[in-house]
Amino acid sequence: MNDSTTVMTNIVLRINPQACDGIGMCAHLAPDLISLDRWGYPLIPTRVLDVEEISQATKAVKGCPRKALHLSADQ
Amino acid sequence: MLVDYFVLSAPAGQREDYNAHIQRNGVLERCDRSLIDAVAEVALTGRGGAHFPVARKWQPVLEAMPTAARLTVVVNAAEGEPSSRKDAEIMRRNPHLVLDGAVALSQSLVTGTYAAADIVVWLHEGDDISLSSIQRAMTERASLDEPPMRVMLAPARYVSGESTSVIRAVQSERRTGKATAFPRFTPDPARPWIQDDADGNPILVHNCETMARIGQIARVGALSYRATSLVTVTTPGGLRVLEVGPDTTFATLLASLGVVTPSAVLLGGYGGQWVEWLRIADLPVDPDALRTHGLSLGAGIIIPLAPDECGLRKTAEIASWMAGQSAKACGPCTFGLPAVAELMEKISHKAKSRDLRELREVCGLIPGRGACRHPDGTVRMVISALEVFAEDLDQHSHKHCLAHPRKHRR
Ligand code: SF4
Ligand code: SF4
Repeated sequence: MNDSTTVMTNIVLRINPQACDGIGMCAHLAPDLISLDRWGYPLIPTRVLDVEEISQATKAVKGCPRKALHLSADQ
Repeated sequence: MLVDYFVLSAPAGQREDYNAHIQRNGVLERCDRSLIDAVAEVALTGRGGAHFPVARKWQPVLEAMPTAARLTVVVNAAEGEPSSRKDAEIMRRNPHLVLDGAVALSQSLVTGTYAAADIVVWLHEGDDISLSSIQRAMTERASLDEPPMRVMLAPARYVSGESTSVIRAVQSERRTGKATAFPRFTPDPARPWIQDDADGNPILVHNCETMARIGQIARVGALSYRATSLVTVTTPGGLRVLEVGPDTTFATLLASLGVVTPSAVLLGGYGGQWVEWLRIADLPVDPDALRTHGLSLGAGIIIPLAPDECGLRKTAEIASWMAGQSAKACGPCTFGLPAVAELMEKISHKAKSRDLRELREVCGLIPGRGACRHPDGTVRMVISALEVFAEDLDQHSHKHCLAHPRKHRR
């Protein structure tokens, strides 16, 4: 392994369902990643995200007014 | 052998005080790490319903202990479900066994001289008999050299028994002096039973029966462990709690209680699953054996469908009760469960295929999306009803019912 090798951790998007207001800002910020269910609450993919998805997810995390979203390492 | 005792050693209706307890069970020696090995060896699983290997829950605690100042061991005796009474029965008859487990566990996990342990017993408000039994037990052993013990009361609602609720209550009590008992979102849903308190000290929660088993293992060792199961069976005469050996089948169990052979049983309670009687009759009432058949004993709750009961009606009633128990904090649970209950109610009157399709769709939107497992269990129970009562569903689509052949006819 050399310095240019990036050690990729498996990043997943998580939601705190108790904090979420269901207004759906995140679905606008990360439209390819997050859709809303019939009650307006976000459907968060459970899979490990690729680099592009991580950048979209980061927008949603930053833009969520309730700080309900976060990225975390999948164990 | 039908009835076998490992946990419930005191006879029904009697409470074993400390003297009687040590006379029957012997004094509990001071415990060390060997308890952890013994518990791993008998492959003890959690009896709150999830049946997770107990010893594995301790790994993160062991990792945290060298730098922690305190370990809080919580006995979860808040049995939220109306059809469960095994924990209350243990609390009333063998309270010392439960405390033994908590003491033994804190001794084996907290080894350094820096850390202290404290023991909390989490009980439902209004469960006065258990409360007085455990408080007396604490008084009876007050002179022993054991970690401080106290009772915390949970609001009497279903989700108070969720381990996340317990943890949140302990945390908030520590911070504010007041307990709030709503399930708390845990950053790591894979291990909701352990959470740091605000200062990074672990809080470890075990179900009451699990704790009593740990107490017995600490005393008799892995070799003399008896793989019994504690069950609460709903009978026409009320709830019956029995401790049975691993070779007892469901057929023997129900026959011994005089329960007429049902067409199906709800296994594991309101958040469990319906199972056809023929599938389960000759299986042993044992969590490990059931697991190999893809079934779970849950918290040992067995609800046979009475001959004059309609499985779909019963499911609708339970779904509506469960919807009412939601703490209404998470969207998919707050909106999803009432939708499930309403559709199930409609279907139990007349099973229109449109409503059925809608129900399956809504059920697909709920699991894994709440902060606790309450909605997941409800959905599992409803889905299992649609499978097990498929024939009945067919009748209901013509407004007939297998349980009440004439009732729905116009
Ligand atoms: S932006 Fe945040 S609060 Fe709003 S719906 Fe999305 S996750 Fe929920
Ligand atoms: S999932 Fe339901 S019961 Fe559990 S915390 Fe959320 S709203 Fe409350």
